[in-house]
Amino acid sequence: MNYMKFITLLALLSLVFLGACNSDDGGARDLSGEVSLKFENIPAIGTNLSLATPGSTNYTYTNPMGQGYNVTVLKYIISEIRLEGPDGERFDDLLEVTADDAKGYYLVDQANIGSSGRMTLQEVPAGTYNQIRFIVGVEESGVTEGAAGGALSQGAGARDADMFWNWNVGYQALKLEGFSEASPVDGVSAQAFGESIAETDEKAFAFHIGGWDNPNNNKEIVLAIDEITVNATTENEIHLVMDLSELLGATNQVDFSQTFNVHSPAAGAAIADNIRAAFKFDHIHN
Amino acid sequence: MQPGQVNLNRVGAGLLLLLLPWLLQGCGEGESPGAAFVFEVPPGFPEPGYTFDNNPLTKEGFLLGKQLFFDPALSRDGSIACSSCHAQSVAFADPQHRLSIGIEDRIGKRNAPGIFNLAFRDKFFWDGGVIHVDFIAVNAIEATFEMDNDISVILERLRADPSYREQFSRVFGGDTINSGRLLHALSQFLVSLVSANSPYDQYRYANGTLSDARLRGLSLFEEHCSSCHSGPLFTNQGFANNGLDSSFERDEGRAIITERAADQGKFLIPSLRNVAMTAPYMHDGRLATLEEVMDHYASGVMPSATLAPVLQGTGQPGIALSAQDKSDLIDFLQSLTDTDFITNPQFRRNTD
Repeated sequence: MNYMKFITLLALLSLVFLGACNSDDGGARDLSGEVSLKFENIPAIGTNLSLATPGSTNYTYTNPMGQGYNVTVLKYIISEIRLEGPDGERFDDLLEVTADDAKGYYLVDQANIGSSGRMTLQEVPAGTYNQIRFIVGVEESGVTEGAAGGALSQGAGARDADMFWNWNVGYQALKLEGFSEASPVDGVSAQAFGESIAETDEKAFAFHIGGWDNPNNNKEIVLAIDEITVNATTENEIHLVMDLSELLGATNQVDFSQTFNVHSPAAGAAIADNIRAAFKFDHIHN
Repeated sequence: MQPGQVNLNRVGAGLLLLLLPWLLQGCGEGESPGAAFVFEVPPGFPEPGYTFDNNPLTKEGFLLGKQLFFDPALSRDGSIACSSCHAQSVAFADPQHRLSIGIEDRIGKRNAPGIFNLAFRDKFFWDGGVIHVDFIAVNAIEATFEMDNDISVILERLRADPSYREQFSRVFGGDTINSGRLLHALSQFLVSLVSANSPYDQYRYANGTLSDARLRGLSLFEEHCSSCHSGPLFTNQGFANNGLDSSFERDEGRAIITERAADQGKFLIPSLRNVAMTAPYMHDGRLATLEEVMDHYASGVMPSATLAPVLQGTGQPGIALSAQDKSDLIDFLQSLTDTDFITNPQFRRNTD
């Protein structure tokens, strides 16, 4: 009986606490909700990407020029996310850089795409939304904030993720490394280097796409999405894909026999120009 | 302001304000951790561009940054500190080397410049590739020919040190030591290195006087030098090719960052404050003395496509200077030495 009394008491207490929570949140219930984003990287529409071991000669995927390649590293930074609706609805994800955090800056890394590819936008005003906008990369306004935490951190974030350039200060927008049958890299007369590529490796390629000034290789992506309704009870997830076949050829064909070691703003501009077409709306999950 | 202070000249008042937190330091124990440390803008200086909102100055933050500046734990093998190449006695320039010397006696590519008035600058390093004070240290820490270290290694060392743990906690709160806090602490020291009390400043902004030779030098300086070395910072913060070379394979300078042919051989125009203390000169320290610098501008300027227009001259490149002109200019440049700055005890290594 004592046990039952305890359980009853616990249940009553729970109700009291839940009630308190409800009364606190009740006012904002219909005013805002959450919207999740899910990024998925694909070699081309209808195919799945998995990372290869550095040095692998399994050239699993094919670029638009018909050259076989694999991927050992794929990362990018997403920032300045905005949702917009047909009736003037607008949500801007909070950007706040401190020593400990960089709110609104997200590192998407294929190595842990399940977690890094998902982000939840909080306090999205209730309403209808049919467009998403974001930046691939970190614009000057983010760079000039100085030292930052989170995805932009020099310790556990951008530096360990190798997304920071210390010599030409700024953050790489996107990084793609791998190996291609067409790459002329022999580790001696032609070299590539990167976080998964040693200078002595053969058949490698490393594309580090950065620069916020001239050229500015950060790209604004604006995508129409199927209409979503947001309120406190909705659980919308916007699925987006990054299509490597577009990144490697939407506007400028990336020929692995010519382009295999990219580490500066000017050198990265041609690939950066493909970034807009590479990001696509896929579907809404709710 | 107290009645007794109104008679002080502006430089003196500015200096007093700069020192005020240190004078108050005597109050000691009762002071709250993280107490604000006021950054004063010297007379004639622009507003600082440094992001103080993200990193508010505190006395404890300044002291922590200073300790880190003098700590060889920042380098991979623990052999060199920031202070190894940046000594207060020479306005935080390199006291002895033409090119900077990193760990294992690795020789750098360029001369270590003086460190002062960084809060007012927006480009750093000779090629201007670093655009925020917070990131200066990242470059020096990670460059293979400087400290050749990873920030994550430094963070582990700091976390293992009870004294650092306590200091970081006092400055930033909590028990976290991360890269943002490390870089902010270093910046607190770096931006506090303000130099604005030279004989020239006393002449310009107070009641100080300059000798006739220095006044003649000032006049020559304004005529020939001040388009680049302009304003209270003695730099327009731009980039210029001052004719050291006619080809730039060895160091393309600004063009490394901008990837533009028009920037080949251009380097960040340095401040000339404390210039008499910061020999050797130029991005690679090739000129040992101010006399050699004068000779370069008078008769050593090499023509090239990107040579600064003001140095193209008529007939012969460079600036026509007599022996007397050179001597007067050097006299004037010596009036830019801020003795208070290079001897200020608050910038000395913390004593345990």
